[in-house]
Amino acid sequence: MNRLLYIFLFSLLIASCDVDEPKDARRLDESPSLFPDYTGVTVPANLAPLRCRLLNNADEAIAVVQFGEERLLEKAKDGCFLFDIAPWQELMSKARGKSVDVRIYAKSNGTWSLYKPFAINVAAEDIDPWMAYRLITPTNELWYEMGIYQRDITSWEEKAVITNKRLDHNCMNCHSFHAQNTDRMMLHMRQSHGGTYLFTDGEMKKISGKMSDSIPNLVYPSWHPNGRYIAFSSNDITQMFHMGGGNRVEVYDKSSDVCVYDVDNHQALTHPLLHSDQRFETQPTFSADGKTLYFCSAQAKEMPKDYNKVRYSLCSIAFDAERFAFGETVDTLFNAEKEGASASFPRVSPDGKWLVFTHHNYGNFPIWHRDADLWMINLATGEARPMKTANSNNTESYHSWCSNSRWMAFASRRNDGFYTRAYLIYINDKGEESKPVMLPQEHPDFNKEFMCSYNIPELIQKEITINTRELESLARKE
Amino acid sequence: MQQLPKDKNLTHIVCESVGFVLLFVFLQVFCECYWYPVGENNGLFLCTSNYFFQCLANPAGLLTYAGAFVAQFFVLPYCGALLLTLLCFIVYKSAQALTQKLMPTASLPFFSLLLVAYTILLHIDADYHISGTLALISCIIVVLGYLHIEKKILKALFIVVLIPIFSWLAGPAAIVAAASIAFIEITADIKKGWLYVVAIPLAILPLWLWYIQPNTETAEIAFLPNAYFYHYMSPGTKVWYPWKVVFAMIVIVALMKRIKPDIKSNGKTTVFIQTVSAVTIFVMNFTTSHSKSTYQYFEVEHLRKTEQWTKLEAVSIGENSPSITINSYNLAVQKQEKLAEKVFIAHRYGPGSLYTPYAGQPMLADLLSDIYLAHGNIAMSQKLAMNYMLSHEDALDGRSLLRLIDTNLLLGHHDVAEKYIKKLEDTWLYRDAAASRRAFLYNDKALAQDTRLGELYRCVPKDSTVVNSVVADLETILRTNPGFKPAKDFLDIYNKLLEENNQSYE
Repeated sequence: MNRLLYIFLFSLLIASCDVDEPKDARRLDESPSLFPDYTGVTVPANLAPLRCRLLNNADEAIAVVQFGEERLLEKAKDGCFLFDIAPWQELMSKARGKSVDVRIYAKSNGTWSLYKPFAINVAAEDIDPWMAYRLITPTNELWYEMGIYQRDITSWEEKAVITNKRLDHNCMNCHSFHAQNTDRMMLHMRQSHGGTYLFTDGEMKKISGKMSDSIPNLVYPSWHPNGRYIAFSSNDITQMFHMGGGNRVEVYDKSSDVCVYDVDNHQALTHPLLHSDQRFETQPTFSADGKTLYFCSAQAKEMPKDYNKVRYSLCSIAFDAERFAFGETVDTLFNAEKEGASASFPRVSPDGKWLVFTHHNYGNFPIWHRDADLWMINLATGEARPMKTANSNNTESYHSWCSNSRWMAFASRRNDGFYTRAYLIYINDKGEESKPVMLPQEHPDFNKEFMCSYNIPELIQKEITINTRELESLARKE
Repeated sequence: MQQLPKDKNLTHIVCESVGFVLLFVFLQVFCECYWYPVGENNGLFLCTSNYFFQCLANPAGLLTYAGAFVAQFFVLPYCGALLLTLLCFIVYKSAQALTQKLMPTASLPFFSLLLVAYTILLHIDADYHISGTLALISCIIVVLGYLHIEKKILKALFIVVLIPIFSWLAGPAAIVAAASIAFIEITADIKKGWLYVVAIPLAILPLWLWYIQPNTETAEIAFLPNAYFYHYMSPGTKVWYPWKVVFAMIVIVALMKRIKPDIKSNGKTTVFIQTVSAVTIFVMNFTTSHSKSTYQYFEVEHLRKTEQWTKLEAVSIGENSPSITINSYNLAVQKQEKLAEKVFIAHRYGPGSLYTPYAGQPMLADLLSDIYLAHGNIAMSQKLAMNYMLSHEDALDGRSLLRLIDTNLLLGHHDVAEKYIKKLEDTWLYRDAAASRRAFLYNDKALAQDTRLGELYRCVPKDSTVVNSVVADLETILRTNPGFKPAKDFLDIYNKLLEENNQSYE
């Protein structure tokens, strides 16, 4: 009897909490104002729910996400729609390859209104479930805390891979993976415990000191598809500050060259075409088949005097992995002088069809340039075009591909112009991009309030399982 | 606790009240300048549940939260001295209660006074957190609370349940409390007392579980009193003193009780000797840490941050003043619009008299941020304010955030300014100042018309000019805002100082 009573009371409680779609709502001709703006975005079915805040004034609000007959109703809590993971992903899985309709109802002065409904497109292809990034206060010269983190983007779980708290607050950056696979990866540490740390199939190795007189340091990395080689640039990096005009910081190279490092034999290879005093060569990346090395190259100028006259072209050179040798000619895909712009961070899709790079007015460090946008080159035709849907009037810079070539993660400062946030963008088999989606967070305000930047968002297929104790003791070995 | 006769009780109250007042006067008159940095260095207290839970997610989180709450008031006039007096009084009373509980027949103010002495000495170093003193108090109270339990089952429950919880909330202080409890039990009953040693691993366990996570601090922060010191700095041995005194106090009193339980030492002479000894130790240490030059540095910083320009001008001039003090002097006279007239009183460092050389030192960053703002170099002022803010716990500091709001508004980065305004609106102290800046958001017209920010707004170049040299930057500012007198004064004087330097080389 008691049991029945409890069941009755529980059902009553559930029923009293239930919300339903308002039936007599007044239809508005305006779209709801949401943060993050998720109207019309394309999402992978396995992504965490798009939790968001309704910015329009309302006493109460309800969001209805509908696919066919199935609906997900969420009553706003303190103005936020906090969808649960399981029902959201269940609905998205059913809508895979199609779209869901979203209706936002808001109640003001006792009257319900319905904002203009919008769609969320659900891609047929999932995204790699993890993302690695560095979190750092976007400072210019100094730092205190920073770390490399990983997030399960199908949920809210974030874990530290390694932070600098136990490594004397040193600098760590440039985490890079072989084919989005965490079994072979690397990262750099600077200042104390400086070096390049390689993680290959459970083994950990530290490379420190100069590779040679001509290769004083290893900076921007890119793994060869065979997992044995890593292309690096070697850069002498300096920075200065703007007094006005919109941009804040200017980072430039006094010199730079490109090499390829053999992980197995601890040997670096370069070539006069990649290592010339007359040119700045930087930011190399391999093609999907590993037969071509793309890199950025500019006519050397007097620095810092001509900092805003240096324009990097996007070039390529053949690479023979069998013989560990380069070709003898350099091709130009994007001619900086002709285009009057600079190219940086080239990244080739794993299917080998597309190359995305950052396009900006000058230099090779677009992270602080408001004019920086993402551009795409069709590698079959050589045609380059801006990714208009991806870009904003603020910085779009670092980007990385998903292992299935349908998704990309990129960093953008569009949120507030200073703190970089991670975005995900869908690219179909024709190379057409959709409206990007800001990486959803457990609370929608997080992306507004968080005082760190997301650096180098890299999509990865599985969790990084580095033994941090082992890494700490390796770092402390000189 | 032993009940005192009424007249003795009254004498105690009078003595303690007089002691309280004297301590407050001492901390206000002789140490006032030490308290502003305490307010800055304990983290920015936010009135949000999120901040509370963030604090609670780490060992000593509750005390970090409480410490930041108390510390925020240290930047207000008289509050630092008053709050520290109050904390010292609680330290004294709790330590007295503990010694009297352990040894009711003896009066032992020496240990309590020594703890007060070390509390003051540690807080003169602004890198020591208020949470350290709160941990000390809570440690004593936990041991005292334990001593009031008589039933063994309750004692066991206390150790198994409360010690690990205390460890999480108060951090390494729990290890001292656990060790003290174990020692008291061992001295009370050598055979069975050893069982209570289990309290020590129970206190360490939560800290160890935290420590083995990848995103945590060093072992020093996890298990040692370094936890209550600014994590970026090495505190040295001084941070151990109060903890050593607490443990020594318990060991000595517990042993005294065991060896000679009926000892009576509450005579006036004994109390007088103990008091004099503790005060002597304090004075000896205070004179070492409170040197004239250290105090001058703190005084100059205090006056600059509280914008007391006339006083700053008076205290910062002197034959042996270092370059940063001379920089502060020149800033003070510039703020009173007397730079051109008075700068050559203090120009012994050449151009460095206006701008001391900077190589990333946080203490210089804040001063230079003020100087650069004064003559209209907004970008440099912003960069340096950011550098200074980073040197604080959680990389947040109210004064720097206000500076960053202003500089972001001036440079046209309104979204970022809004973000910082929202952050400061979650505080108590800076809420109004932040809210008053909302009027300038996305409103350049209001900025241009503002008496404080308008002239600075006109100093920002509209094109992408990069920071170059002092002279080139000042020339840029003057090209952008030709009527800006501070920049003109700085440029003229800087050039004269350069010329003087060159002539002396020749």
